[in-house]
Order: sequence, then structure tokens, then C-alpha cells
Amino acid sequence: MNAESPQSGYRPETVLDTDAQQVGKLYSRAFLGAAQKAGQTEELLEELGSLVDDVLDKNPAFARMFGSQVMPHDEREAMIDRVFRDRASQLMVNFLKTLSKHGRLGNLRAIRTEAQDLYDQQQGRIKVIVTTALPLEDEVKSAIADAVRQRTGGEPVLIERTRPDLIGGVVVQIGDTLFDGSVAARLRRMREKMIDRSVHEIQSRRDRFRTTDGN
Amino acid sequence: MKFKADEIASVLQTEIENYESQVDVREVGQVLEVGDGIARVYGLSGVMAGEMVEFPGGVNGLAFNLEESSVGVIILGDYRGINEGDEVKSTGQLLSVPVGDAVIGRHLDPLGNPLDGRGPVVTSDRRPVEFLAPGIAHRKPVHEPLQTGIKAIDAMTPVGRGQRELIIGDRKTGKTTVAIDTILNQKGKDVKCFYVAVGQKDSSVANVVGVLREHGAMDYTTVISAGGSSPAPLQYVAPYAGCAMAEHFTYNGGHSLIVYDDLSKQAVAYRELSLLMRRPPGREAYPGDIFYCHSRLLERALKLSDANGAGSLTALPIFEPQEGEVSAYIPTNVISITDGQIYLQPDLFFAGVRPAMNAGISVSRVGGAAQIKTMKKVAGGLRLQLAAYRALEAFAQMGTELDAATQSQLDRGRRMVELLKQGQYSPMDVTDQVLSIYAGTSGHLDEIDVSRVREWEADFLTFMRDQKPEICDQVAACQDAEDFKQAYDDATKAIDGAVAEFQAQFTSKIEKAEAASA
Repeated sequence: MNAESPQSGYRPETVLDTDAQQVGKLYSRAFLGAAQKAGQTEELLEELGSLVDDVLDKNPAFARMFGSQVMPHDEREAMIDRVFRDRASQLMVNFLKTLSKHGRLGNLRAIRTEAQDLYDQQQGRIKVIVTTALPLEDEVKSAIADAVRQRTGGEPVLIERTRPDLIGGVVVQIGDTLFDGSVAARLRRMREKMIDRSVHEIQSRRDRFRTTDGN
Repeated sequence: MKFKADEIASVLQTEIENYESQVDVREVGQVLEVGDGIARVYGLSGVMAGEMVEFPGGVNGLAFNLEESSVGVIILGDYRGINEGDEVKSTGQLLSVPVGDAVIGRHLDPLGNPLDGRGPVVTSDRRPVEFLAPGIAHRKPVHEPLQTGIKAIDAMTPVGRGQRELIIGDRKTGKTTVAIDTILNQKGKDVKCFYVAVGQKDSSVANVVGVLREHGAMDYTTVISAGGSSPAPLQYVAPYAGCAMAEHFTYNGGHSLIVYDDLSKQAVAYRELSLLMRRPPGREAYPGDIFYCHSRLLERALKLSDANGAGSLTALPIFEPQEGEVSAYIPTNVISITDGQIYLQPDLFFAGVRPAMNAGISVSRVGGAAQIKTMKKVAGGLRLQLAAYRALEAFAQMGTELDAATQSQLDRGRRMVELLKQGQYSPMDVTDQVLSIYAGTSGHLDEIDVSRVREWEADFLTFMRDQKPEICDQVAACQDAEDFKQAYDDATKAIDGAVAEFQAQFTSKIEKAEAASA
């Protein structure tokens, strides 16, 4: 990115691995299906979240071993039994065993994210990423939520981010559509427009800008 | 150049005053990976195939592959400034290039950016790069000639306005020269010319531009180049971009000529892109739609019907097969798409026959419809005569004794081959061509020494222009005469008379020269 770009210094988060995401989508659908059949969707989702946040994230060595293909399936299954049998629900243990059988335990994080997204979607919740230069006040937050609710008919889930280089205003992203009302974007557009206009004026009527007294 | 600061300030001030603040709504995605001129983008869920997207820093891309979880984008420009995670926005527009009089005389890249250092192309006219060729109802048969100015081609494989004539031959056989000569010959004929260089050495392109400028051809020519150092996406897009610029004139009732130099390089660039995009490789690793890649480009060359303004777009694609292998995959494709081919052969080239056209296997499927009547009459049997000569020549090499008739056929053939030789960058007027070829086919050259044929021709044409301009006019007027046969007979009689007069002058000149050297 060139130095003039108003976004310099800011690095957006790096996107996930799309292959893992595809796998995650598939398993999360199965997971949610099973959970809904058992009538424990919320609980199981929370359990899955907690498995990632409280177990895997806190014990990186275990996470590495858990996700690796080095250990044969039988041993992994026995380990899942030993570790989780009395500490997790039966459905979760079964789900982990299924993943282990297909060698997909390494995709657990992607499955969790996708399951959450899918559930949100089913519940009519919409992920809204709100980026501002300064942390948002509650009134503004509820105003944005109201506006989104009115426009889309869904229940917004606000994810806040701060980026000082926006200078002011607000950037709202719903899905892939970005509503950019930031001061930085306006300044950038104004700059582009002025350059375009000046180039056009200069090129179309060169004489007007040229003085006769030499170069 | 100095700027008047206050003038600019006033322009800028009005801009600021009129600036309306709006919320910028755009569809965005993020770069997953980038390299080799392509990027994979996550998001952009509403993007259309072929839509332009914009990377930070103003670099544009083209949505090429729409996949389930990502979008494959070809990057038209410098991809080194693009990073993983960068925001990509869709523009809702298709790729387009500037068109119109503003591009004439310019040297541009395939996106319409200047390469000649003469500032941006000032025009608001744009035309989409990809355009579906119109159907048969909008066309009419090719009927007017596009004079290439090259005797061998205009006589034996004539090119008509709206035709697609392939120039095919190994490296260093004069393919580009044929195309350049054709462009030079369009001077004053109201044909806009476009030379698209794909994957060429930048030095060769600079050379071509130099030649065009030197001969005053840049006044009606645009050069679009994506050199060997340009990324594959630009090389792939260049012919379509050039075609869009040429079409602008065609659809406004004008005539244009476009040279694609060369399509083998474009096929290679497209193969590179497709493989990087992980499209399945087919024969010779080319993607399955390589035929469509060329056919949709060449189908855009056409002669429009009178109701559509009767404009024309003539295409001269150049193709360089490897080691003369015309039966390879891509050459056969291109040969089957075009309306004929001019086949240039290295052995002829090195034997001094230039243009090194092999008359036997070069064809023009439009044929006589693309010739003026006089030329058709004069050069009617020439192709067959030359082919017969080539066969006899091989036979004669065996040293057998020949009868007088065969010997005279051989002698005539040798002189015709000599007569059809032509220097580069010296296209000839069609009347001159008719005079030369008539002199050859009617036997006026039979007594002249083979080594003096070209000298004879040059002197004869000078003689005709200087001393018998009325005969030149008479020959040119035949085309429009009510009774063509009568006019033609009269004209040939006049030429015969003039030749007899010239013959005496030429003989005495030779004798004098020989006496002087002795």
C-alpha cells in the first residue's frame, strides 16, 4: 500500500483459511442439526464455545495434540473418553468422536465460528461491524442498532472496532456491504474528485492555465 | 509550462463548494492471497463475472473465477503493492477503455493509460472491452478491398474490409513487416489502424512505433502494447482492448484495421492465468475455452450492413507456430476461425523471396470479392501459375531435358517470382501493382534477364508515372467503367504500346551501362 493511503498503518485482520471454513460449515450444520433434535441448541453451542475458549486456548500443547493426525484414531477416541466422558455432554463426546474418525478435530475452531454464525442466521441475528475513530457511546450504539433493525428487519449483533485513522464518522459493515460515512473516506473522495477535475480542466483547456511568459 | 495558480484555485474552490457529502456504499471483500498477477478474495458475494474490482492504491482487477468461498481476481496492473487482508471493493462496472479520436496517434497500454509520455487520454467516451459480436442480420458480405500495398498479397490472397486474414509463419519470416506495410499503405485511405503488441519485446514495439512515426502513419494509428514484461492479465486483455478502440470507429460508419501481434503469446498468457486460477488444463495444458478466447475476439471483425452504417473492422492476427508446426493445437484453431491465411516460410525468406509468402498454401476465403476488377482480371491465374512453376522447378532440378513449352513456363515463373519481390516499408499503389503484374503475366518480361527484372520494374513504373500518366489514369478508371471489358481491353492495348516504347529505352540503358563497365 502506498504511503499516501489514508489506511496506512492500519492492518485489517487476516482472513481465515477458506478450506477450513468450508469444512466448518459442513460440520456445523450437522452439529446444529443434532443439537436442535436434542433440544439443547443454546447449551451445546455454549459448550462448544467453552471447549475452544477454556480448554484448547488455555492448553496449547493439548490443542496441538488433539488436532494432529499423529495419534491413531483408536487412541484418540480413548483419550476423548478419558478426558471428556464425565465433563461434557454425551452429544458433545459423540460429536468429538465423529470428528476424530474423519480426522477433522483440527477444524474445531472453524466449526465453532461457523456454528455460531449459522445459529445467529437462523435466529435472524445479523452481524454488524461498526468501526469508529473513538469508542462508541451507548446512545450511538442503540441508534445504530435501531437503524439496522429498521432497514433489515433482523436483530443486529454489534461488533465494535476502533480505528483512529478514520478521523471521524462511522463505518458500518453488514455482510459484504460497507456503508462508509467516515471523514477519512469523504476526504479521500474529495481528493480524488479534485484531482480528476483539475486534470480534466487542464487537459481540456490547456491555454487557460498557461501563462505566456515562457516555461 | 507554468500554471496560473489563481485559475486552478478557482476550479478547486467550486469543487469544494459543490461537494456533497454522501455515505459511500460499497461491496467489499478481503484479499486472501495474492501473487503472479492474480488474487483470491474472500467476500464480494454480489460480484458479477467480468466485473471490475478495485484494490487499495487504485489498482484494478477483473473478477474471473466465482467460487463457493472465494473470488479469483486477475490484477490489471502492479500487484506488488497489494497485501493479504487488503480491502477489495466492487465497482459495478465492466472493464472499459477510452475510445475515439483522442486515442489516435497514441501509444497506450491495454487499459488506455499512456505509454508515450504525452499525458492522459482526454475523452469521456469509453467502450467495454468485452463485447459480443453482432449476429448475421447486422452484417453483409465483404466486398471492398483493403489494399495491403504488397503485390503478392493483393494479387493472390486479397484482403477485404471486414475480413480476418491470418499471418502465420516462423520467427523472423517477416510477419510483422507484412502488417506494418499494410498499415503504412492505409495512408489517406480513411482507415484507422490499431497495432496490438502482445508479449513482444519492448524494443521491437519501440521499433514499430519508430517506423510508423517516420512514415507518417502515426497520424491514423494507435499502438496498444502489453510487452513481455507486462503481467499475464494485461497480455490477455490487450487484444480485446484494442478491438474495443477499433470498434468505436466501425460502429460509427468508419473503417478500421487491427493487427494482433501475436495471438500465440496471448494464448500462452491466457494459459498461465487459467492454470494459476486452477481451471482444469486441457490439450497442451491450454484451458478448455481457449478456442472461445480466440473466436470471440476474431468474430468481432466484421463488415456491417448498410442499415448499420456499413463500417468495417478488418483483423490481421499474427501467429507464430513453434518450428513451423501449423498442425499443432492453437494454430489449427486460429486457422479454422480466420477467413484465410498468409503463410510465410523461412526457406523462401532466406532464398531472398520477400515477402516470403508460399503462394500454394496461402489462401483468402473471400477471394476475388475483395479485389478491384482490374486486379482480378490481371492476376486471375497467377496463383495457379506460380504453384505450377514450383512443381516444375522441383522437376527441373533433376536435370532432365525439357521441351520448349516447359522451359518457357519455367522462365516465366522465375520472372514472376522476381517481380513479386518487394522491399519492406514500401507499399505500392494498386495501379502500379496492376501495371507490374500485367507486364509479367503478358510476357513483356520474357526477354529481360532475371537479375534485371526488379530494375526493369522500377524504371517502368517511373516511366509510366512521368511520361504516360494518362495511361495510369486510364487503368485506374477501368474499375468504374460501364463496359469493363471494353475499358480493360483499351487499357491493356495502351499499356502494350507504352511497354514497347519503354523496352527500347531500357535496352539502350543496359547497353550503355555494359559498355561503360567493359
